[in-house]
Amino acid sequence: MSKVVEVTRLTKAYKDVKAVDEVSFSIEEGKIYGLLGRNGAGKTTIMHIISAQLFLTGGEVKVFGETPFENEQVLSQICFIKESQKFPEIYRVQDVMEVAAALFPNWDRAYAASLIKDFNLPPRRKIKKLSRGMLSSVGIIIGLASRAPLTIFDEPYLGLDAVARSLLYDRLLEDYTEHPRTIILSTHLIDEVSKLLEHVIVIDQGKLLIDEETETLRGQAVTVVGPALKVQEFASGKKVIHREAIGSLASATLLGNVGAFERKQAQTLGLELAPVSLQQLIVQLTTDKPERKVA
Amino acid sequence: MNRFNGVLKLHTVSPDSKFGWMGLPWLILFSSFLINLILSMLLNKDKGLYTGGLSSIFIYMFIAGIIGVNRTFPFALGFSIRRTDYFLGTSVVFCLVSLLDAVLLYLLSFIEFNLTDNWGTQLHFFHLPYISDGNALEQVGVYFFGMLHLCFLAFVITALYRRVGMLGLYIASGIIFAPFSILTILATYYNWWGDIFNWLGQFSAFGIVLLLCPLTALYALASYGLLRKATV
Amino acid sequence: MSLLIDDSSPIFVQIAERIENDIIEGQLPEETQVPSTNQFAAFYQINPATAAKGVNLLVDQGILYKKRGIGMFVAEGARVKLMEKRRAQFFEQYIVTMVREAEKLGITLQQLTEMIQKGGKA
Repeated sequence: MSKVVEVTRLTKAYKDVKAVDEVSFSIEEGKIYGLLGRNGAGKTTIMHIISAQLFLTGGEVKVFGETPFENEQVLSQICFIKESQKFPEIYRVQDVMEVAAALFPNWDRAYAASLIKDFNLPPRRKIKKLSRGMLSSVGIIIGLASRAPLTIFDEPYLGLDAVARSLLYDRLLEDYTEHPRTIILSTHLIDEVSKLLEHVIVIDQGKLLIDEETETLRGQAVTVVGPALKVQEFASGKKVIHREAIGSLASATLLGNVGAFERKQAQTLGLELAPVSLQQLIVQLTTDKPERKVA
Repeated sequence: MNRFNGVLKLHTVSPDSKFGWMGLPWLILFSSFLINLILSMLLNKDKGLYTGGLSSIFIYMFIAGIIGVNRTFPFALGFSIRRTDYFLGTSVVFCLVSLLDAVLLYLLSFIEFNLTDNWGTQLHFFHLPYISDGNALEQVGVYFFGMLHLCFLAFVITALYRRVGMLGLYIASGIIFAPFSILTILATYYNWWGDIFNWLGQFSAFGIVLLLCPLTALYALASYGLLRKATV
Repeated sequence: MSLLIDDSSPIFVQIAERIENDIIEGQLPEETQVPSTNQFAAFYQINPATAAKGVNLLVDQGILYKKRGIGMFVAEGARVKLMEKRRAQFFEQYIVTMVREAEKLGITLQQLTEMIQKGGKA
């Protein structure tokens, strides 16, 4: 499997702050990756550096085996759709599509036209008159119709309602199945999107936290609920990433595989085991919350 | 280089942007022309009305250059266009628009001077002494190189802005204008102006714009260098 | 947006379990074709690779087999195999839990047996 993106000890430092701190990972061809993390964690910076829109201060980035800066070979294969995309305000939707058609070598006009209908976009309306959701739709359509071998979506669905988001996931999967390409999806809505992801990369405060296959990650945590002392007993020796307490009840989220033996043990102790979603897992790993006591 | 035409499209695809490059400058020019025409009809016909209204299109092209680049550069970068391609494509747009404008201005100047006897009202708007002194090619050249100079000046200012931001722009203009201000003061103090104008006076209008060419080239090079370091 | 897939275990495991259920309940008889991984992916809005993982899990266990160029089919004897597996799990999953819960509630073995008999008839 060839590596489409190779990031080695990537660093982006601003004076005394390191937005990205020695991050290393690689992206393999033809898979859907999730690039996750809190706001300001550094994911957007990383994506901008991969697409040569920002300059790194340390480390190395290789896309399709070469450095992306001013590299036509590489840049013509990338489509980066971001939440803050700056379309010229006076341009109409169809103007932007025309430019995209001229710029992306694999652009599919028919596909773009059908997507514009699907998302109910008025082609002759100016960018400045579009709602937030419509603006996102423009970006999504461009990302999908570009058929760029490396397509990056940064929070592509701001302002889209649930129906439109579902449409996006449907179209994305459909196109990915028929025309496989490497896709990087960066998002907050982890749970909704997590089913689409084959591999997950989590960035926290500029550093790499997780780089794992989604399915391996799933089921790697469990929440134990019950009488505080019993929870304590069960959790001892295990990696606890989150605790909560209410009255005499407590819950602890534990990292690591919980096998049949442990499940029996929990049952004996009268504890309940609840699954932990990917979103919860990542949120709890990336938040420095002190123990919360309610009531 | 295969996305070069994409950059051309980038600047001209929208009807509004086409208007910004060609429509609006000419609209402004014609408004100025009409006003001056009316004035010339009302004034004394003996002396004739010599006006600088022609400059309006040059000034506006300068502004159009700034707006055009500022609006399209982040968009281009966002679509992973190389800075080199953006620079080349934008330069070509500047050349084409300047050429088109130059030819049209020459034609109007020809009509004014050779065909309609100054519009019948002694208005000298397009055909002016000194500027229109050369042959056809030289006249077109004066307009073309003059406009190109302003376009690239706009380009380098915008590129500077994109590279160093607003604050950087203020500082840079301070740094650049300081020596100019000093020189101007010295020139006045030592009475150099006479000599300067005499020296310039030996050149025709066409000669002067040719002198501007190295400057234009300098702006172009600087724009390219600045864009290469600019981020979105 | 399917509610059929949850967070309790890896998705590919849940896909495999779904197919197993369909086989056990008779909806997928032996030698019938199973939906393609792309169809699963589209239906559950999941990554095709994940769907493939689930299907391959069953192939490895001899529950499904691949007909080159056509697709995945239910293997002969699949249902029998699955029934055996489920029976083994039945004891752990249901009996043990039930007995423990009954103990907690102070239900005697006698009462429990009566309940079971009643339950079967309801």
